[in-house]
Amino acid sequence: MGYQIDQIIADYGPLISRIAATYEADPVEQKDLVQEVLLAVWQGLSVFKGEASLKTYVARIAHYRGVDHVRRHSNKPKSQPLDDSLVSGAKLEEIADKNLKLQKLLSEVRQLPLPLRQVATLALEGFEAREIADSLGLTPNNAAVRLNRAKATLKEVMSK
Amino acid sequence: MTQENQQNKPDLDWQEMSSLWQQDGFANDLNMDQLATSIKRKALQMKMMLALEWLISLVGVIVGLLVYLKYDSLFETAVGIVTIAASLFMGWFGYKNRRNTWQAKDETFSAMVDLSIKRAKAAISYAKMNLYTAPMAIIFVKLAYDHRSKDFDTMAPEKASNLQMLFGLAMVFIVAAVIWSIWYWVRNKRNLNYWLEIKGQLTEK
Repeated sequence: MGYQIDQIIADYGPLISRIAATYEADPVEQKDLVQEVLLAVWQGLSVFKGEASLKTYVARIAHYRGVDHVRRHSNKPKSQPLDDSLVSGAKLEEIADKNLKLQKLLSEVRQLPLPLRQVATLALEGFEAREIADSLGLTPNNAAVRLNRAKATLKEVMSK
Repeated sequence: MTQENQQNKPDLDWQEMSSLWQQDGFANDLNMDQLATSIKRKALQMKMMLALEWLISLVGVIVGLLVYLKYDSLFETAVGIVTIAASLFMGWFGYKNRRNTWQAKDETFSAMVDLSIKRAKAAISYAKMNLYTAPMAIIFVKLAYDHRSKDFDTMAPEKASNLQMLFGLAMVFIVAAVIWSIWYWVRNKRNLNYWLEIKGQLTEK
C-alpha cells in the first residue's frame, strides 16, 4: 500500500488526537486512545480500498475507536470540568485567551450528543458535508440537518 | 437583509471556531517518534501472541495425532480426535478474534457499529454454546473415568490415583470454562446493550 506509520502520524496525528480529545478527557488515556486509533489505521490499511480519501478513512476509524473506548471505560467520567482539562499546573490567569476559548470549545463539543458531536468534529476539521456523510454512513440530507443543529448549538454556547 | 443574502453570508463564527479547533492545541504533547515506536512494538506483540497461540494449537494437533495413531482403543481414539478438534478450534478462534483488532474494515461508522452488534451477538452465542456443552463434557469425563478406573483399580492401584488426578483436573478445567463463559456472556451482553444504544442514538431523528 506504501503508507508508512511515520507518515500517517505526521499527516493525521493531530486530527486523531483532536477527535480522541472529544471522547476522552484524561490526557494519559487520550494518548492511549490515539495510539489505539493509529494502530487500527495502520493495520487496517491492507483492507483500505481507497474509495474514499485516507483522511475520511482515518476519521471514521478514530470515531469508532473513540466510541469503543468509551464503552471500555464507561465506569470512568466521560468528560472533566473545564478547569480540570486545562494544562496541568498552569494558573487560569496565565492561560492565553485563545487557549481558553479552545478549551471551552472542546468542552462544549464533548457535551454534544454523539450524532451531533461526530458531525461537529468533522466539520471543525474542515470536512465537507459529502465527506461527513461518507465517513459516518449518513445520507447527505441527514448529515446537513445534523450539521446545522450542531453548528447552532455550538454557536449559542460559545457566544455566552 | 433577505433570507437568500443571509444564507450566502460566509459563516464567520464557524470559520473562527474551525481555525481555533485546528490549532493542534490537543496534539502539542504528542511525541511522534515515541508514538511510532510504541505502535510498532504493539503490532509486533500482537503478532507474537498470535504466533504463540498457533504454536500451542500445532502442539495440540501433533499430540492428538500421536494419541490417535498410537492407540487402538475407542477411548484413546476419541481423546485424540477431541484434542485435534479442540486445538484446531483454538487456532481458528485466536486468528478470528485478533483479525478484528488488526484490520479495521473500510466501512462507514454506522457499518462498524452494526458489525460490533453482530460480534457481541456472536460472542453471546459462543458463551451459550460453551455453557450448554459443559454438562455433556462433565458426563463424558465421568464416563471416561469410570471406564478407565475399572482397569486400574485392581490391576495397577498406583495408577488409579494418577488417573483420578487427571480426571479431577479435567473437571476443574470444565468448571473454569463454565465460569469464564458466564463472565464472557455478561460482558458481551453489556457490550451489546451499549452498541444498541449507540445505534439508537445514531438513528434518532
